[in-house]
Amino acid sequence: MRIVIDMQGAQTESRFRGIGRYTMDFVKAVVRNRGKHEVILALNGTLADSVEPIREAFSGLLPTSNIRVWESLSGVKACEGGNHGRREVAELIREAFFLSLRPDVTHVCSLFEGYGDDAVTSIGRVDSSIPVTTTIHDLIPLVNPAHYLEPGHLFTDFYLDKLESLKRSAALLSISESSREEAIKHLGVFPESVINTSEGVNKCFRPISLSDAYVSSLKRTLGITNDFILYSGGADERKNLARLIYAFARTLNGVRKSVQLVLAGKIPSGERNQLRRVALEAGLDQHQLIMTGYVSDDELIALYNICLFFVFPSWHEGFGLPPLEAMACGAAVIGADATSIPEVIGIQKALFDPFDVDSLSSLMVKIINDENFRHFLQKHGLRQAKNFSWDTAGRRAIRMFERVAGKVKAADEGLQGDMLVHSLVRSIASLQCAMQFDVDECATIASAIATNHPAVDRKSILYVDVSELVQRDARTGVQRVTRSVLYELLNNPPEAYDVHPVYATTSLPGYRCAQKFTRQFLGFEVNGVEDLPIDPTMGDIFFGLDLQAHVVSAQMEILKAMHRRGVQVCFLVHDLLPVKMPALFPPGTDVAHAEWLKNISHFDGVVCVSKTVADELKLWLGRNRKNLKSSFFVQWSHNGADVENSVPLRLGVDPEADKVLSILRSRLTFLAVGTIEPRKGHSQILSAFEQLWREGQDVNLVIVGKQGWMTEKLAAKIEFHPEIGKRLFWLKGIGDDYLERVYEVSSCLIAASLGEGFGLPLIEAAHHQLPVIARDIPVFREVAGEHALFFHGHFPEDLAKAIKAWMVLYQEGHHPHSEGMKWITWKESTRNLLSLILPCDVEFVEDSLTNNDV
Amino acid sequence: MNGEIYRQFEDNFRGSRELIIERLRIYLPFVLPLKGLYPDSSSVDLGCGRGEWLQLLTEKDVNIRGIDLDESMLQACRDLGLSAEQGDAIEALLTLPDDSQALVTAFHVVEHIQFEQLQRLVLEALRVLRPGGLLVMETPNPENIIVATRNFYLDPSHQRPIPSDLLAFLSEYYGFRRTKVLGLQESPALVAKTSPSLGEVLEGASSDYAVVAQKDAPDELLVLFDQPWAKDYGLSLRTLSDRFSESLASRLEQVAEQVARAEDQVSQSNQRAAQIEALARNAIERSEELENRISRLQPKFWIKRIRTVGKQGLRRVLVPIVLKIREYPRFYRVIISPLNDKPKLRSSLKRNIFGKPGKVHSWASKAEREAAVRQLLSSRALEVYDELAKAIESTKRSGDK
Repeated sequence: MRIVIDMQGAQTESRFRGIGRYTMDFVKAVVRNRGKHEVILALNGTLADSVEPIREAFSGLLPTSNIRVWESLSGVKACEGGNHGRREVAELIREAFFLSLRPDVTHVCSLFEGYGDDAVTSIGRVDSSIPVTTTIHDLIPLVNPAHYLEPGHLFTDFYLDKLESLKRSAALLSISESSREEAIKHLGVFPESVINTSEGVNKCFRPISLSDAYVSSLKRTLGITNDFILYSGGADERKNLARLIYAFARTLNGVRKSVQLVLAGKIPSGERNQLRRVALEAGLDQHQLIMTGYVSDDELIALYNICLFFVFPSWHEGFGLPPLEAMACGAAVIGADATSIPEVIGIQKALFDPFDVDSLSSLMVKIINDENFRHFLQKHGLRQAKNFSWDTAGRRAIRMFERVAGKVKAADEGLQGDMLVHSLVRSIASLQCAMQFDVDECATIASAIATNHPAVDRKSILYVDVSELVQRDARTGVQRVTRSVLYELLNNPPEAYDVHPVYATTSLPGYRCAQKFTRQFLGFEVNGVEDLPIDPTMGDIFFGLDLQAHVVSAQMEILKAMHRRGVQVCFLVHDLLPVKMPALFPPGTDVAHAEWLKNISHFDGVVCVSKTVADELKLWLGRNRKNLKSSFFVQWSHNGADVENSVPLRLGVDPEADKVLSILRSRLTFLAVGTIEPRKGHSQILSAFEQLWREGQDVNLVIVGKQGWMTEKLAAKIEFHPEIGKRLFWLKGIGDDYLERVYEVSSCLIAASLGEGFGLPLIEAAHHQLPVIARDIPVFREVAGEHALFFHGHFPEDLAKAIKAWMVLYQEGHHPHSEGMKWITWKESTRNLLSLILPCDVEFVEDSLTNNDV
Repeated sequence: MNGEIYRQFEDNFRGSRELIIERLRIYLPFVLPLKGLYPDSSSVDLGCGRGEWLQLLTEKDVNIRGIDLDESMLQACRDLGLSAEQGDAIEALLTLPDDSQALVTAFHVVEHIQFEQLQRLVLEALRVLRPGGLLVMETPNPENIIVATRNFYLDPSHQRPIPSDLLAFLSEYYGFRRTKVLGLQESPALVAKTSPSLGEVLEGASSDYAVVAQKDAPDELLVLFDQPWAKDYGLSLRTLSDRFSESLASRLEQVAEQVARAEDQVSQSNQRAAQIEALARNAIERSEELENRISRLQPKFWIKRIRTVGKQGLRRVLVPIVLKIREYPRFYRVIISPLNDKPKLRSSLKRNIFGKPGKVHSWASKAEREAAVRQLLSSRALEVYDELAKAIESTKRSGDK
């Protein structure tokens, strides 16, 4: 059986209150106890901030594919008039989505959402064949219409509308006997259709021993000086706090201890001022009544543990979690003899008439003066708390689901796929308000529907972001990687995925399919092909292959929305150089790069091109990124080295080439490959060779690479060097075919970079069996191992010395050979990469790993 | 000292004859009463040198004779017809009888002789003088600092400087009735100067002085000399230094006062500046307020307001108009022609009606908006969109029926 649960109760403001706690704890219990059944959680994607925390809370309990996010519309909250049309549409969209999940039963954790927020709930608008159950928390407005349901008020319309949906439920789960009876009495539902699951108490509420230091510090922070009476919860009128204050004042007359009254939890300022006035009228001093404001769970547990006793005077509750929590912590609890509280507290002696101040105050006096009575209640509370368990609630709910699902067989197997979409569109078009929709609204609706109902026969897609390559091919090392990986992916796509290169710009939101570029890239015709926006859906993967910090920054919202929906988003990190060596880059690069690193750390993980970079990145994240998700992965995978398979840039060979190559052949030739930038150390190489030439060494230096940034002077120096054309050569912008031949005639490669992400030139040299002299930096050690001669120092002499040493070794044939360097092909590299970013099929470890079991 | 050298020296340092004679006139108030007293009596000038004094007194009909050791000097005197003999000053005095001379003078002599000789000279001068007679001794004034430290020693034959107190004391000790010290050769301008400079203090006191000593005589005789005796002569170092200190002090006081006044002014200026600043700020605020008010009066401001507040409503009214304009370009030309001289307004209006090339404007027609929106939809979403649009159309049509 497939159970689909609507999680909006944990996504709205309710997530800060009892309903939110209920939703999370109850659903976890259902998931833990599902047995053979399948559970899917449905989250409203428009309530964006709440999606990630719920995913995190259930990671390890459910596979990611069982948490589905659906797109809704914004601007649907009922407290604003004029949203009615959109809200109707959103309700249809939601129900259609739930239908598409093919549930056997759907459960709504909290139906009365969407008044002050953009949550959307409804039952039976699109389909009535699939049973929908609802949790009924309470019917307080219905039972007290004079107070809560003013005629003509937007809330009243909202509430009555939800009641209609409620009545269409196949069954109701109540959270207490009391609310079950309310449902039967006020809704006219059959007793068999309402079961009481009750609630449980989170395991974190328990008796704990606290250090004196912590206790005194907590009391000091909150202003508590003596023993205190504790209340926790909201401040609505039904919570009955005014009477509590009067009763407390009266209690003080009857006891010799000096006691304070502490109201824990956030109380809005309006109510707070009112309660202060009441306290003043009752003759209390400022310090005798304390309102703590928001307290964390830990502080709440501490308060439960150290209070004198706990009081809960509310005259109408659905369940009443606070007294249960207090009992679980070992506090003595007294509460109102009304609605659900008696069944929670479970002992008559601890109850009082909530409308009678004397009843309350005399009970309070008793509990303060009579220590035995207090201890008795404490022991009772611990025993009573054990009767409430989320697992029990979960199991009862599942039994109800089984019963309900069995009864109604889905009449038509299938309003599914395209038929479902057509039906949905027709329903929307026939709404009264549809006439008023303008182009933008129609587009939003269409977009939401398209996202919620991806094409049925669609394979999962691996989106490969090539934004930079699409705009320009700068022929840098990074671009070589992009080109090579893309080529491999297109020619050898992973089994379960289609590979779609995509791109985005900084001006328009959204990524597009890079159709035109791909066809060009693969050598096909380009005519008549359009670049359409993409439609990522759960199960797809977005891989940021190319480096384009500004595009990523501009598209963060799009990426986050994708990620929320269940698309795995990961990036490739080539290096951290702009951040580690900012002086070697144009100004502002370090800031942009740091921002890019922070941006990409919001998603699932990154793959770095070397272990060195991976280690550097982990350090950097530790220092610069607070609250990094623990599931964020930092992996590494080396680049490939086979130039001929990396979509080489065949530019044809220069006519000059033969002449140059023959000069190179005539002597010992040293090769430096790479764009002329400050980071590559060309100036040290050139000065070292000037020294060698001065000393009479007859050697060639050939530099391959175009002029990069911040090197005008060096470029001029090379161009106008006395040795240019004789023993010094600068080949810029040559194609890979020419480069191949240069490799052939060279004797040794010099890699003098101050920092690299990977060090492709080393590998490529090895590929051509060219020995290597490299600067002693960690990444070169990682790539070359022992198979290169290393030098350190930034002076020309340091390098010249190393070159001379190498030449001596070379004469004897004892120089380090590069053939030993381990390198892999681009094919292998891409396979590695895929193994890191494709989700492995994790078998889900059932329960037990989380700490909130009951 | 060799005579020739001395003459040369005198020529260099002492000054011209005329100048010296001028200077010697200062003594005349003393000498002339003496002449009146003893018209025929002789007088003697010890160390007469070139005879300037002899010349002066001879002009005044005083019977005076000079004594000097230097032959060449004596020759100069004789050349001028002055009575002078060679001889030693003290010896010459010794040859004179008691009470025989009216006047004994020794100009710049006493600094050349030893002290014992000086004592002798004073003693003998007293003997040879008639009652009421005068002994005049002129010598460099060591009170003048530059004289005492330098100038006195320019003449190697000078023995040692003789302070005026000593010379006067000596005279009175040996029996002269009274003495008068005259400061000489000071600059009259400096005497009048209230604030001498430091250099003047050091160099400006009287460079010579003379002691005029008078032999005792009955008071009726002495009275004749009261006038010249009562005068003050010379410029003392003490006077100069006192004046210097005072003037310095008063100048400092003045400066202090000036500084105080300046400080006052500065603080006043600061206050004024602060006031002005406040005024300026006020003025700026006011001008900003006025600007605001003016801008409110400008159509641009209201257009913005209208746009933000009444955009929707306005749009509903204006969109059909704009669309119509586009359909009938003649309307456009009619509207645009009065604006031909305002190119900016004209191009802005054109842009608003026809939109920027390639960009969809808020005035865009439904078709343009749709094209822009479709650009952002994936192929699947486009399918749904088209279907939805069609379905809505057909509902509308069936509704109209």
